Amino acid sequence: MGSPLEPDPFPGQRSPSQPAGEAERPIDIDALAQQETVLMLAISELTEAEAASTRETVLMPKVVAKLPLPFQRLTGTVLGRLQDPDPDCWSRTLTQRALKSSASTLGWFPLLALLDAFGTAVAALGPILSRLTSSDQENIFWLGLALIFAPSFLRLLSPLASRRERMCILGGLSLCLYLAIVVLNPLHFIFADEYLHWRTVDNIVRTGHLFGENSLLTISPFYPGLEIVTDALSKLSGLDTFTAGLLVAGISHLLLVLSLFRFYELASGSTRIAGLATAIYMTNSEFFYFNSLFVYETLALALAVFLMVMLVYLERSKRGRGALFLGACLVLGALVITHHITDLFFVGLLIFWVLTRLFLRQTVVKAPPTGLALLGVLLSAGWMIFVASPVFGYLLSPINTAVTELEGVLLHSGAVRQLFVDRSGLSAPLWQRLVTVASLALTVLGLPFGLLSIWRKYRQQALVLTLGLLALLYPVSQLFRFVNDHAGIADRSAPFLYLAVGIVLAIFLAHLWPARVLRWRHALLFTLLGTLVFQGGIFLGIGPTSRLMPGSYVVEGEARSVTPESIQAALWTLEYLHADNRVVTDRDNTLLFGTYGDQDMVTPSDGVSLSPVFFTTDFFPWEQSLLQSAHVQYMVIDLRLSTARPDAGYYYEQGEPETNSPTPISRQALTKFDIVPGIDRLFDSGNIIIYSLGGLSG
Amino acid sequence: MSRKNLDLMLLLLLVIINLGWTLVPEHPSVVDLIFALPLVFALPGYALTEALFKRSSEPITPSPQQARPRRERPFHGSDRFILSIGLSLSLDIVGGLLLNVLPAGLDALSWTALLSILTIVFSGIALYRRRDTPVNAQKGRGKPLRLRSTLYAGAMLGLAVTLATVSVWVSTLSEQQQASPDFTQFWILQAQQMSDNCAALVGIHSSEAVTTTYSVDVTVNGVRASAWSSIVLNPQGEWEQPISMGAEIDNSMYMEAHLYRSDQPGVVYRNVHLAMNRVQGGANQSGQQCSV
Repeated sequence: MGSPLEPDPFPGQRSPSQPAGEAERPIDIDALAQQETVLMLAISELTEAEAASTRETVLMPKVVAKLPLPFQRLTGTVLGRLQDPDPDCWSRTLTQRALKSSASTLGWFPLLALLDAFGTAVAALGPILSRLTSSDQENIFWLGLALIFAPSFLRLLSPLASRRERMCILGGLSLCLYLAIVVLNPLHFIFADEYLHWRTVDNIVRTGHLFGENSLLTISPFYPGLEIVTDALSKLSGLDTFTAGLLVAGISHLLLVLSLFRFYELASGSTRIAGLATAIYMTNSEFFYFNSLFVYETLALALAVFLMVMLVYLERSKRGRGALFLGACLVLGALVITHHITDLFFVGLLIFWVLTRLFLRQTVVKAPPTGLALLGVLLSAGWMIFVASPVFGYLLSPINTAVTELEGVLLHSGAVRQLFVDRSGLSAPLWQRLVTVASLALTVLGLPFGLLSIWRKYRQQALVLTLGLLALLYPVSQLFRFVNDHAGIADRSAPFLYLAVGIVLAIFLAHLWPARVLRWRHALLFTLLGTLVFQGGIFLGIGPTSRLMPGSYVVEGEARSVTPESIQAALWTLEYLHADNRVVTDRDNTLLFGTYGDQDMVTPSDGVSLSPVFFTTDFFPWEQSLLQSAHVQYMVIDLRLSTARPDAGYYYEQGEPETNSPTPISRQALTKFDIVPGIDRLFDSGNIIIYSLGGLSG
Repeated sequence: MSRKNLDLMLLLLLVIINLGWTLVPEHPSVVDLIFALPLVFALPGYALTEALFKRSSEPITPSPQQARPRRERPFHGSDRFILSIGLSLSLDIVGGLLLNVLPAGLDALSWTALLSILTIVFSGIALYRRRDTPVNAQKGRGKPLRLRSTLYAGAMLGLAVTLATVSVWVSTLSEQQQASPDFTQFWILQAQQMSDNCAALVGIHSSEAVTTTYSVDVTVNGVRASAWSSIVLNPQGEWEQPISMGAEIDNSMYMEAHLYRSDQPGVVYRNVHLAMNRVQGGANQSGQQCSV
């Protein structure tokens, strides 16, 4: 552990592969060269002999002996190669020479940074050409992403990259992948959830205080960490919320990646495994897209992994423990008020870690994870009970629904969701399906071997063992892809479970192909597979991607529904009707009028379902009663809704009338309000009509 | 000034400049951004790191009997970057909770004050803890880079930053210039009452690509009340006109306004309508009031 250029900060802590009693002493490079060659050959032969022997003897577990022959051979090879005490050591002599003669500890990073930037430029061509040609150019975008990821992954496989180089490579990778998201839509947020958090920021900017009401996402004001930081940056720099939000999300992304590297390095004792594990983490279905957005999970995840880094320091360091504990408490406090699920997961992870320590008969009572787990439980429970009590209903209801549906599928009483088809009926092209399946298969199939490696090499390390066991939940979570998973369990659990999956697969990779047997053809193959897994992860998270590129208006198509006409209409309401009016409209216009227009949007969370009002061709008295019961002052009608079915699966709210209708909503239904006494048509911009309901009699 | 505390001195200088800058009434936003970024994302966390973790109090050069100098810091020097950002973000969040309790709340001045005070306090603690640390303990242990390699790295990284920046800039331009359908906004609202007469406000905002000529006619209870022709608006141009309803108009008024384009005079381009009622004033009010 530690490069020759950066002394080991844990002098009492040896890497798991370092034999006990090995003392640090000056190395005579030249004198060792000849001995090294003979030794390498001997180890190689011994490894192969042991592998052969292991396969043939009764030491192989009976269950492995019953597997098909290819799996037996693979397991045998893994078991054999697990004998290697230092899989990262290619050649100590040559490594020392390479490091000594290398131009700088940055190694390949400057070149890779340029390649990453080139990849970003290629990725940017995708949306640019899509706008120019009015056709989807997403294949160029995918090519750009591959150009960003692949070269860096290739270098991370190398045993010669220094620690600093690996950190720089990962930092550059993180930033360029983030910029690839930004170039999709540099002027507007691209996902619905971003607008929800924007509204909370706007409330803070306007009022100067927290916990204001947000009708778009009622739980958001109770977890204001992201919005607090954005507010600080916005007020101090004068930036608008959108730009400040982009910066906060980008820096969170960078912190996440660097913290992951550090965490994996401390856990595994190897910078190479750490680099690979971090790169593998980036292949999870949420990393590229959802965890780059302006949503509270983006910041919370970064804080949580940073907290884990501090905890591992705390566990292993004999010095500065009081200071570390104080720092960890501060970060834990920030995490608790930033995101509910991330907070709950990581407190759960701490508890799991403690239980593993108990199982391994290691110190529990005075161990740092124990103290912080207890504090985490107290803070999380306290915050949820005394401040954010709506979170219980917010979290439990969709999870219950998803679990019930899964239960139904498993018991053959429920319908299996159609895979690779989104709510609008759009299906993924064949090549994307194949890549997605291959990505999932490679990940899941690699887990057992990774666990085997962990059991053989790290089973006395509570943290690594904990992560290994946690990784077993990943295949289970993917079962939710077979149901209408409105809670998004399959995808939303990925960023958390991949904390474990990343290190498990990296350990497997590092031990299956130790550096001394790693050739260029192996490295290129792994890079190809790694890039495949990366792309597949993105397809898994985003779904059929034809709507990712900018283009013409799409009904309820999130970023594709954000048009100048809609934004200008929302701004008009702020200027002429002023803020905080009760306004009802369709799904995507709700986001725009709630943020650009600063209106108090009527949503299903108000406990009233208004969608039936928009589907009838006549205006009935019960509709008037419904609107009045919700205290609606203004109604925004987007006539474009009548041109197509909604991309999101609904126009106004889930479960609305005509959900399964093949035809779009009737234009007559949308324009019936013109002739209703008491409803004034205040605004007309062609597609957007704004009605005032002030004249409706009570 | 002690060389060993140069970093903390620089920190304090940045903080003082930030404090002073906030008090300046008008200032360019680019400079605001340059000052704000480190204050929000780095300075408080860095100062806290230095305050919490003392550097070695022993000489950097190891004695023959000592494999390496004793250090209190349990992490690599390169981790300072991660710690600075992570702890800064955490301080921002917890600090925001604290500011919320204060009457001033979260505004520019309170943010500057809070983050500056935190940085100053933590820097002070760090200075105190470093008082017996020798100067050479502050030096980095990294291998000094050769000039040629520095130039190479600098050139490549500079190119990379330039390429990434240009990519984002071109994407931004392409989005700004993305062809979208032109449109015109047309509206009618109740206006401020003019003596005893009800009034409405009619307005047009043009988001057409070219200069467009419009005409407007307004009817009240089916009778033509007002008309304007040859309203010429450039792109992003705006026109507004109040309409006063005389006393001869009935108590219940239904106003309808139509917008026409000169290139399509017979086609109603946009239409809006507003119903108003003339109401007698209350006991303490004279005259009449209008309501929608």
